[in-house]
Amino acid sequence: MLKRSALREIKAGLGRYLAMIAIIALGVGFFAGLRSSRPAMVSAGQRYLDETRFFDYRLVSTMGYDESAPRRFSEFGTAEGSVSVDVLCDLGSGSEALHAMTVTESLNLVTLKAGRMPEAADEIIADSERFTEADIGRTITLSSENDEDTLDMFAFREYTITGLGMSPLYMNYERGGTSLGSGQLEGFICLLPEGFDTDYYTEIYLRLDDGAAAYTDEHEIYADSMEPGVTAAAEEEAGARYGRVVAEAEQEIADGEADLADGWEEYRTERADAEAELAEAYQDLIDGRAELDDGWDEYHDGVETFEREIAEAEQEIANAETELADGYDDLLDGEEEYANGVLALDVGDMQFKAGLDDYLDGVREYEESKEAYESGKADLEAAEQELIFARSRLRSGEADLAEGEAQFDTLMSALAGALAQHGIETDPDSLLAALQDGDAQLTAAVDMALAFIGQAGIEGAPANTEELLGMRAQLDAADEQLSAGWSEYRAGEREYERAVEQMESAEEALEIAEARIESAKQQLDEAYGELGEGLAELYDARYALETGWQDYYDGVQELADAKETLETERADGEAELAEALQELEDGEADLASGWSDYNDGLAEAQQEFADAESDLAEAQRDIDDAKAELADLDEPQVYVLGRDTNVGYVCFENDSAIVEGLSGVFPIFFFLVAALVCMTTMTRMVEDHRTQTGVLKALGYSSLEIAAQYLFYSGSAALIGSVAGVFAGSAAFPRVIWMAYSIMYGFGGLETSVSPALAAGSVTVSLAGALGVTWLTCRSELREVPAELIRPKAPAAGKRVLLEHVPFVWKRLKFLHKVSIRNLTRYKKRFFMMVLGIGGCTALLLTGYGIDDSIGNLTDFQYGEVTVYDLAVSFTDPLTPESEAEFLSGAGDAISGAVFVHESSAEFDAGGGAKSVNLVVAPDGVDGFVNLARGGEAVPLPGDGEAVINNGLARSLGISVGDTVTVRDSDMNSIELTVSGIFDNYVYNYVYLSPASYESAFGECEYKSAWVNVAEGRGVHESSAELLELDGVAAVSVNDDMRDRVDAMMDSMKYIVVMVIVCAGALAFIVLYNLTNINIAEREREIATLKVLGFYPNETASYVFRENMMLTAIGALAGLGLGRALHAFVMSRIVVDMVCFDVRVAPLSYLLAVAWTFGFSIFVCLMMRPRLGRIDMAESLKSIE
Amino acid sequence: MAYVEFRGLGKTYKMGEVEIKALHDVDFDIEKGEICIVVGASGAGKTTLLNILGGMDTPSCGTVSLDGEQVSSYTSRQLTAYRRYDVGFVFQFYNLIQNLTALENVELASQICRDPMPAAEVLAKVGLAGRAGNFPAQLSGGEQQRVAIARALAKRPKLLLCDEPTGALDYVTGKAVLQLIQDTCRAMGTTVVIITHNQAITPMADRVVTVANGTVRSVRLNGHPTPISEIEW
Repeated sequence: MLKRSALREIKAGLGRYLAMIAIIALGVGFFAGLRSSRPAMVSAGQRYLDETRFFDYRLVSTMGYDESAPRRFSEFGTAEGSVSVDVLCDLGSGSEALHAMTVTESLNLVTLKAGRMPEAADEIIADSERFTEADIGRTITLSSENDEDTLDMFAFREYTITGLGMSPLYMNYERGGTSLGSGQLEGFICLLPEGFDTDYYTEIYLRLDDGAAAYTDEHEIYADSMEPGVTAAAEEEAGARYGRVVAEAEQEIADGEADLADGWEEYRTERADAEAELAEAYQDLIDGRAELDDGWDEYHDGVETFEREIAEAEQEIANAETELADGYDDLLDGEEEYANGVLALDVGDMQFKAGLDDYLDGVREYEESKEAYESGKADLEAAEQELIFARSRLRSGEADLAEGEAQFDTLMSALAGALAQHGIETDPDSLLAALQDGDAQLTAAVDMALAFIGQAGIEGAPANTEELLGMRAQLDAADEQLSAGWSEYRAGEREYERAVEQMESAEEALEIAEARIESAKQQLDEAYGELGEGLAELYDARYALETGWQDYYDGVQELADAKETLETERADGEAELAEALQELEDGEADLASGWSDYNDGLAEAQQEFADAESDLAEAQRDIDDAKAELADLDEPQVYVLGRDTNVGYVCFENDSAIVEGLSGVFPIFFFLVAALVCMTTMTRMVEDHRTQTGVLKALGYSSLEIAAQYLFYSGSAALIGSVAGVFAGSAAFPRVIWMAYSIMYGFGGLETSVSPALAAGSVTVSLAGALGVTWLTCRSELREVPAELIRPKAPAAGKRVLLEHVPFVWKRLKFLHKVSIRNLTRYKKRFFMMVLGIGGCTALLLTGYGIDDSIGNLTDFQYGEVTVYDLAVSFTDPLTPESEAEFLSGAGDAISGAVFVHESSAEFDAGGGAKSVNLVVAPDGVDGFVNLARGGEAVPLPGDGEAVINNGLARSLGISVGDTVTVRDSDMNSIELTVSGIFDNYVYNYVYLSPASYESAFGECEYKSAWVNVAEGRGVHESSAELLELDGVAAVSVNDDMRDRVDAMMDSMKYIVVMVIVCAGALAFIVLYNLTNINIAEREREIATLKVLGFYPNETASYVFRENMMLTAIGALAGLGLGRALHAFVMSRIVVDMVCFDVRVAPLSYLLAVAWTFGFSIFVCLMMRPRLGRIDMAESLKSIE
Repeated sequence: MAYVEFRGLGKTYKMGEVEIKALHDVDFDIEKGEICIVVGASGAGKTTLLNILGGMDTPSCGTVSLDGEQVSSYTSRQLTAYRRYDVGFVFQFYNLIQNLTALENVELASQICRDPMPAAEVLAKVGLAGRAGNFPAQLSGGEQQRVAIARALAKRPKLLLCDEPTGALDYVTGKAVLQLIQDTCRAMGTTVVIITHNQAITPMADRVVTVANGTVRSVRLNGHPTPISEIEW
């Protein structure tokens, strides 16, 4: 039942539970993560060193070792001989120093990064840090600046890059120093053993067989124990080589002397032979002269004959040409005549055609006239018929009219008779006239008479007067018609007669035309006959002409052929002659060169005799030298170098130690805060459940059973949180840190694992902590009797604070401010937790920003204040006063100044481990190029037997002014010096020496470098290119480029800064969330009271959150102090080799740290604010607690 | 128009599927300057009534008005202002701010309203002039309740609402507190609404409203209120 209650408790206050889990996870994660970072790094390193079979001892002998020597060391472990030498290589952009070494097969295995391993003797695998994939396939040429001994070690002068690789000998980015070029190795290249032309090893690598991993004490102890044996064996082998070298040298000298004697003998024999040869050549030359003279005579005869023959042939051709020209003229005349004939024929033809046309027109005209005549004749006959017909018709008309007149006259007479019977005397004519005048009396009388007549039945009688008059009129009209017909007829008759006349004349004309046509036809026939004859004549003429032309052209062709033949023959003859001349001239030249050869040969022979004699003398000298050298030969020096002399190996160990250093500080906060969060949460919970606890106790549950609820709550949170934290932290932190370091270390293979011990420890501690805190919290409560518990606990009493005794401040405060201030001191646990959490957050932020400040401005200080020169120039040969002057005049106005220095690298040893440093020997007056100063005060250059070193070196080796230190070069020469000054320098380690100190230990001090300042207004790269053109300049490096490179390296640190800031944010958030959550829950009643009293939501919120803000302010303030300390501590733990940090925190970082802290705080407040609105006044105030 | 008017007031709570009618059809008036006692058994709805009148809760239906202003239609911000300026509360459990002294608790209320009474004066009026600098934890229950009354009166509220003011007090102290309420309000002319389940004290009121089962059972006017000192229970 209680279990269910506990689960419900978790569900109800999930936010609180999760916050608790989160803070525990964060604390444990931070701790476990940082803790496991070093083991993860170290194991990655161990794995890498193991896989690549990293050496334990590097045995160097000044004379090298015989190829059989490695076998001697098999009793210790695996041994392999190797050749290595620093060599200058041309890479297209000036020469640079590279470390060439053998691709070893069993030790120090090269890891291929790209391309393939070398297979042929002139193939190499190159440093993947220095070269890029674009370089695969490119050729590296050994520079001719290398000295003879170095070049002799190589089988070739050019090597092809077939792949890029990493060597465990160079674990980090550093490649070390050299005596060549700029004094800095730029990278390495690995050759197959056949790539070297040596019969000895320069060193032997030995890997011990103990099987213990790198960086373990166990291994180091074992290695130390083996050292004496190894050293003895190495010395023995070196001694053996010495013996063999001496014996070989003696043998060589003896051989040389024998060779010399042979040489003299050979010289003498050869000289006699040569002299005989010369005499023979002289005789040959004399004979040659005589032969040549005969040749000249023969040649001149030939020329004469040739010229005569040619002249004759030319005359013949000229004659033929004249003949042809005449023939041609005749032909042209013929052509002209022929053309005239053709023209005449054409005219005749044309005339004939015109005549023919006329004739045909005449015929057509005649035909037409004849046709017209025929049709006219037909018309005429028709007209005659018509006339006859008309006349007969007219005659019959006359007869009819006469009959009518007669009838009328009868009638009239009858009428007159009738009238007269009636008394009217009248004759027919006057009657008619009267009637026509309309005499009424008569008319009536006539009518009556007519009627009477009518009755009488006389046929054709008119019925009345009117009809009578009509009849008269008809008769008059017919008469008139007839007279007209007659007149018409007569006209036709006249016309007919005229036509007949015409017809007759036409017939006559036709006959005349016919006769004319006939005669024209006869004429045409004649003309045609004439034309035919003319044409035949023309054809004959044409034929004659064609034949003539043919003959002419044949003649021309013949002439041309003749000319050609002449030319050919002439050319042949000339060529023959020229050839003969050439032969003769060649003969002359040969003879001349024969003489010159002879003379040269004579001189050469004499020179050779002299040379041979001097060579022989030199051989004698060499033998003498060799004898002297052998007499001087020292016993070889042997160096047994352990892993701790490998810079990469040592740096890696140091770097991993830094990480572990960090892991000691940061997590403490998180653990503390986690414990406090746990405590407050549990306290709150136990107090919340006070009454319930009382009831449970009253019901008879045991204290343990009740406590189990709380223990389950906090224990489960601790378990979940710590397990999550261990896993997440172990996975994430090593990765982030490795990301930062992997920029310096090329190898990967980081495997994060959860260390069981660490996990168990972390989980146990968290669990124990959580349970312990819970137990402590509920113990007092469980001890009380139920009766006491059931009664509500009196709220914590109000308390006056110190500030109240400062009335002028206190009185000015508002009540809610007063409450807030009193509240701050009311719950001390919460106050401390809040201050610690928020302070921790601010401190972390400040540390993060501070790291950024300290590393961010590093390059500005280094390159803006310390190494202020613009260019570093390295020269191919050591400088002399003359070459310095030459350089300065060559650079001209591109530079504003230069200082010549010696730079090389060396090992620096102060008894506590060696460091690689840059050795500088500089004359006075480096100010303005490099400023040596400590805290703004100039540091003087060292005197003899003194050294000036930089602060980073001094700090990391614990050196102060007056200490004695050892400086060692790559040839193991060393010098002890007293530190006379320490100067501020942030990048790289420098040791300054006086020239005398240098020379006392390392031999002649060669000045091969110059620091140069570019003239005002000139670009550094432009000037750099200009300087590179000068004679004797090997390389120029631009300081700005260096700066960029160092900047890039420093960027890796930013990951860590971001990580710290993110963690700080998480911390602040969790703490603030948790506390605000509890605060609100506890104050519900108070808040409800304020709401009831009429406080607006803003006023209520500010009452609650003002406290948060005050705490944030106090926490941030405390955090700033804490942050400063933490930052200083962290910076002291982050020691990056070569770089000395400028430990400082910028004012802006303080501001940012505080601003972020407040930002987180305000964010949490805003997030919690809606909870205030949800508090129900009525509910909260109803009951007591 | 009466000073306080309830018209058809109802309040329904929804608990999941179930609807609970805490109040329904409440109609009554309170005149200005009256002491009104709302009496009823536990769960009768009298606290809901008080919460609505005090602006801590809103009705589901009906209206409440004070001095002509319709409180029931206020927005939540207006309600806050209403609580701030027009109403004084006295609770059964005093609800003092533990971290403020008695005087400061009174000032807490008076500093946010217009024209408050001087805090010290009010505290003297409730007889606590000598305890002004004490924190609540240092005062007895009666004294704490008197501080609460002082805090409520300092605002010169239009309405003083008291929710079982004597519930957590013994007989004598409770009587003294009631006496204080009666006397001060009479003197200041404040309208008072007291909620109680104690029938015995009703004679001290001008108006007695009996509530049962979520509605008003009866409203009785008392022509001659009895001074509290004469009432025994």
